[in-house]
Amino acid sequence: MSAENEFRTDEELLSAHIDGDSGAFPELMDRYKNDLLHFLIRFVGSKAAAEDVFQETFLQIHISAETFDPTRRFKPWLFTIAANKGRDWHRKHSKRTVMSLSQEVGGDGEGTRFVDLMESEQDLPDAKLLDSERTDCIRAAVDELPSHLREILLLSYFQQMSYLQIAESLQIPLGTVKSRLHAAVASFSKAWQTANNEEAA
Amino acid sequence: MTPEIPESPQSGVEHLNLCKADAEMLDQLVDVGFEMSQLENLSPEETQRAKSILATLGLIDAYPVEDASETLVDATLARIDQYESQRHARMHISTAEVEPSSSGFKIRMPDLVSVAAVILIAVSIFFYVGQGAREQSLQAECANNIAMQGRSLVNYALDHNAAIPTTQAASLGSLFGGTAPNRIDSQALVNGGYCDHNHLNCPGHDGESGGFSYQTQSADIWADLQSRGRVFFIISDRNPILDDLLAGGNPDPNTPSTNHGPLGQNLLRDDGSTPLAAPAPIIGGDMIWILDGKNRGIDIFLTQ
Repeated sequence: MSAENEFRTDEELLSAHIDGDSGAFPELMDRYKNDLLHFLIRFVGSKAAAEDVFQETFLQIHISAETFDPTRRFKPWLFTIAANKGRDWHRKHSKRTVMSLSQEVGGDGEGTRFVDLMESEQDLPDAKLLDSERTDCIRAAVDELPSHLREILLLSYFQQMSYLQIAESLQIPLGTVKSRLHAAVASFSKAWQTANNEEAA
Repeated sequence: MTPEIPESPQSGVEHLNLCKADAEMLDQLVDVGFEMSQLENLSPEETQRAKSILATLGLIDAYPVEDASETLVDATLARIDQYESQRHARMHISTAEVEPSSSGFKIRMPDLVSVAAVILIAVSIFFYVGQGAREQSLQAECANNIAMQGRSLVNYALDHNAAIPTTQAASLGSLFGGTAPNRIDSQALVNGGYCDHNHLNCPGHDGESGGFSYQTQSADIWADLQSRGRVFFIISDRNPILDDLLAGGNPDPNTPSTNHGPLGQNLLRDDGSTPLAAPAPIIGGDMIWILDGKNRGIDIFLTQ
């Protein structure tokens, strides 16, 4: 990687890539390879699949580079495309969990007090290294989340994207983003407690 | 407190939610990028709540991940090169094929007549084929609209504790013993941003301007149909049956939609599939009617 590229912003690198600078795109990939790969491993559940989606993502970035609005930030765009590619991967490879449209009509609309983190008996994570069984429990709890909840949890918590950024990126209403993140946290918490209890039993 | 899990035949995960205080604290944490130090004037209780949320989310840090391999960037660049090579190969046109002959040529009347005849024949064939292709295109667009409404309903239900948006079809009360049936509130899907208004109109249906051109099943009998294991249609292309009934007529239950002529009519099933019902009968000799199994003497039909 050239020293000059190291000091360019992401947006400048993408612009340089469009102008034919052959060193700009590798620098961009190098900059995000670990961050993006970690996101994708958590999203699709395996390193091999994540590397495939990583390649799809940067290929899409290359194809769509000229459509990028240079007044906006590159990173949210990158993770949006990665999330879309990850969702495509889930559609192709995961067992479909289609919710029946003939579900019972109704619902009281009140957020039921399913999870109260204040009163839960869950242990706070300590600073010690987690053993492999505990890591497996966490992995299982994350993998159990439906992909539409998991992507919002990862974009929000790991990429610190705001509700508005996620709504714009995924083209869904702001309220939907909020409700999905709430559901994701509640679901993860519940799944973690269940897995933890099973481990203890 | 022990978290409660709702009874549901589907995955309960999607119906879980946070209590109000947790949800509000989570929203605050999102606003500050999960930097708790940026939240000011928190009460001790709020502080503890924020810590609990962060501790819960912090567990995900332990999800096993690996750094990118040394070859990942190179492999990605190779894939991009491969894409570019294939793209250039597709776009390559040999200029030698279109260079004019240096020997020149003369156009004779028989040649001109022959060419004109071929053009006329080709135009007549393509006109016929093009018309058929256009009808197929409209039908495919209509099927996409119906599928989109199905996905919108799923997304709406996911966001609303499995509830489907419904509203009363007031004009149909006379056909339901004086009680207007509930139908899908398609406008709520548009208002909620789940689909566009264009998805509510069949491109092959004439006469709609801003309204809906699909018919939806009466929501009141969904559970009954489901419990009986019946094939269950939710949305259909509009057909003349309902209009004839409201006008006091006695329509043939086999009457299909006219939206796509002989191609048939599009339907959305409860499993999310969108079959094209050819003019041949589907169930019990009906196109869209489904017997309710209670011998009420009237088929249950789709409301609009």
